[in-house]
Amino acid sequence: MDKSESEAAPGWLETRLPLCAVWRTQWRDHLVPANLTLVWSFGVLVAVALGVLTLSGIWLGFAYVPTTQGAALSIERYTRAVNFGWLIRDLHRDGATMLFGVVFIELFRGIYYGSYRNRRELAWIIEVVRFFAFLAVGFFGFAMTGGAVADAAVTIMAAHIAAIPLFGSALAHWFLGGFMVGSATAPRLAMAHETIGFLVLLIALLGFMASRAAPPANPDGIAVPDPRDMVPQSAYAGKLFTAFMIFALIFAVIVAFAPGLGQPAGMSLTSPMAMPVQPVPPWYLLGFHGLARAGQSAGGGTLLTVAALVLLGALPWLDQGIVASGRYRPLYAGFVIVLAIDWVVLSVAAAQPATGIWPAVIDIATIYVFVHFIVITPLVTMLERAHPVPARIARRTA
Amino acid sequence: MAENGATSGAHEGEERRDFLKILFGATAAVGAGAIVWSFGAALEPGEAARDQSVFDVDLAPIEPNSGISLRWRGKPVFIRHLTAEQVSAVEATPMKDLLDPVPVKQRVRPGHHQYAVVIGICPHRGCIPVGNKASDPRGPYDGWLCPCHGAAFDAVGRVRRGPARQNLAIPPYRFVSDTLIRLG
Repeated sequence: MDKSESEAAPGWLETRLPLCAVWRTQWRDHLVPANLTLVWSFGVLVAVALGVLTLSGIWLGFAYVPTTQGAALSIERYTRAVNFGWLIRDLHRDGATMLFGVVFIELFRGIYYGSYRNRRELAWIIEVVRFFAFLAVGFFGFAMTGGAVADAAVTIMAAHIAAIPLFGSALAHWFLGGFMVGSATAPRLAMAHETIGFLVLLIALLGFMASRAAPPANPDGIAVPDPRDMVPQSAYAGKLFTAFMIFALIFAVIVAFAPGLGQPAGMSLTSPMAMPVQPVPPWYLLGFHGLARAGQSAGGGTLLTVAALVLLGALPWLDQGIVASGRYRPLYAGFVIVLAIDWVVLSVAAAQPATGIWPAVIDIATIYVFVHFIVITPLVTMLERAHPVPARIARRTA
Repeated sequence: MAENGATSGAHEGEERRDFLKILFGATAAVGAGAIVWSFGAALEPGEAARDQSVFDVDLAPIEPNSGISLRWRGKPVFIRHLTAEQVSAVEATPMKDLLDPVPVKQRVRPGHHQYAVVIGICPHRGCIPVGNKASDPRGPYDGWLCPCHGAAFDAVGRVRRGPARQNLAIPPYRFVSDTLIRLG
């Protein structure tokens, strides 16, 4: 853009509401490290996914009927009878898949590059809280679709809530609006989905502010990059666009050729006297489904799930090393990759029936998650001989 | 960029960039248009609602000097079978006596002057007039009478007495045979 054109004398609106100035100072001219890779575009992709989910969610809300039988039927009706209903429904359902795909990679990016270091603890904790809110929105969204599988999931979640000491059972009845999934449940699930969904936008804004207050994270893990190694954010427009196009392509392929990928097929209506043989949640909840199953009892499952999220948020204190980035920590980087594989194994095992080898796989994968955070992370920091970190951002010629 | 080094190359590169900008803008506009169109279309009545909005009505059971009321797109539609005297009475009304002057031939279909098809909503405040059955009060003009504010209509639905200022609306319909109409 021509400099003289965009920074001409501010007009009537700009002098009263400086939107262009905020855009310039907070985005276009904001200085960021010169070594950011494609995965650093994922924050923008989260915003894109949230935009798609908000818009398609409002449109689905026009037709959704929050009753026990009406929920599943109204979604099927929307898919079949409304113009482009199939598209809007799958933009929402598969939009959740795209969001969680991006969020999981973003979390592992943070773990791998030590993005929680260098005064970024609070930004990291807010990211974990945002992740938990995403999980809650995803669960309520899956639960509010009604049908036998979703209602079984609500029943199981109520048991997990009831296992909380002291006020658990009161909370579970409050969650269900009764002693069982009933006529009061569906409106609650829908309102929780929508309310927390909008709350996520606020949490994301807080995370953005916390992230901007601290020195910028970068793949070399250099705490405070040299001013000569900083470039305006607009220099990354091409990289952001590339990331967006890859995102949009994968999204379009899923919507067109594999709608509902990794999500349970609904369509069997609820009966109060029978349950589906094996209720399986959407893929992005499977890892936590595995943790909950490894807990044996409802209370144990609640404890393990909450503990895993708390340990994730406690990473800045569990990892006390000087070197932040996995690029210069070969041992740590290897263990982070093992953790990622372990999470995939846990998710796959959690989708299998509780027979044969699978319960053992779930237990081992669960144990590894906790061993990684409680034992491996602090121990590696002490034992590892890290590679020297360059004083300035390494110039890699592509 | 390397190919921008020569003077002619720079000029060519600029043109190429303009072309790329137009291409990108056009592609983005098509994409945005597709989104806006599909999201807009999703708010329109779906196929099921459209299917229910067109149907046939058999007029044979309607006795002369009586009418029926049915629901079409959620609105009441009145179909009145006029007697020969009623047809000649509305045709004899001078235009200057009408509040919303329209000749009878614009209120009925040619060759089927004995059937009046109107939307049963008073143009004044939206009440539903009475007068389909011979026993109903029909007002001073032998048509329909609005129970809310007293507007009176003649047998083909033209307003003869206020507060309404317009005639009863006519739904889209056509005669399939002598005693069968297709509404919608």
